[in-house]
Amino acid sequence: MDYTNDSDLTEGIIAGSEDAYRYLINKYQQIVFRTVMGFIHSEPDAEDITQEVFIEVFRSVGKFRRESGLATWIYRIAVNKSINFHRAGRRRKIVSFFDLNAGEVPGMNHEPVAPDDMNPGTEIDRSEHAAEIQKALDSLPHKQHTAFILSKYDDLSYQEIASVMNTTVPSVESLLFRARRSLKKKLYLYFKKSF
Amino acid sequence: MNCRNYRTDILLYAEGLLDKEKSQALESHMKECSECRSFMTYVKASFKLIQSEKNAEPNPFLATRILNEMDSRRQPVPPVKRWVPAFAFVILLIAAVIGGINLGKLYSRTILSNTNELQEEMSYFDDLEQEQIETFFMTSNETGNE
Repeated sequence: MDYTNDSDLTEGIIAGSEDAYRYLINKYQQIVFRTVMGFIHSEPDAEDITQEVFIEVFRSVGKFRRESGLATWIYRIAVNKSINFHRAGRRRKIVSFFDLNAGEVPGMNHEPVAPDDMNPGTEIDRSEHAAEIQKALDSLPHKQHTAFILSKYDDLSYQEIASVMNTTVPSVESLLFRARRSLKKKLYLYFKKSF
Repeated sequence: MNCRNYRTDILLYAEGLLDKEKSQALESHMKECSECRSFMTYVKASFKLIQSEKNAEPNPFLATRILNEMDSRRQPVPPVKRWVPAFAFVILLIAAVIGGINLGKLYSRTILSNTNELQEEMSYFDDLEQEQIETFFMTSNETGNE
């Protein structure tokens, strides 16, 4: 059966079709994983939560009222699972993605970021910088954090973010504005400390 | 405009969200302000880190792992298996009660036999047959005088 249509896919999952399960996972695992990474910053934990998200989707697909799209509903579950994980402080993998991959980002490998722009001798300690960004993001209130992740990590439009968060477009704009203002303040504090 | 006002623009500039006019104003400010230039570099590096996290790929076997996990959770537990923990608990409870009763009986039996032995020992003592203490002293004095 063809599951390109979300309605058929939903029916297939409700019917317990293995093909429908597989199709749904293949279609949405990258999206779910990316969203969760925005909150958790640890690949092993993000994979565990992604798994929990799909199990929750399969378990409660019968309750899905189709008032919103399937993707929106899956986003909601991913966001809720991530926030719950975050709140419970269950982060068990100490080494974060930023720490492991900071070296791959130009200017983050203990090299001066841009020699022309920086004062001589000033280098960004990549792991310290990674921890700072993580801290700055995680310190945002949940709604601002969610809006920022959905915008920055998932490239969702304001309208899509509003649907996922069950709010209005002006509220999303306000949340993003406040998130950026808080991030700017935090990043500037860390910047001043580093230099 | 001072540096403080430019900082929000720096964030938007790094995200590629600042309009052309403000971008030009910021660029000309940064030519003269080394701190704003450095902050721009710092913010850009921060967004590059976020971008790298955004591009992270899940494990290629994640889909298989999820399906396996679902299969294991979906398999119904046989009715016999479902009753095993409850049955084991009841057996343990009965064993604990019977054990407690037997232990109690054993304890009371030991106490009882000990009391009987004591009573038997005590029966050998007859106060009337005991030598009076005065007689004892008198006898010992007489022996001493001799």
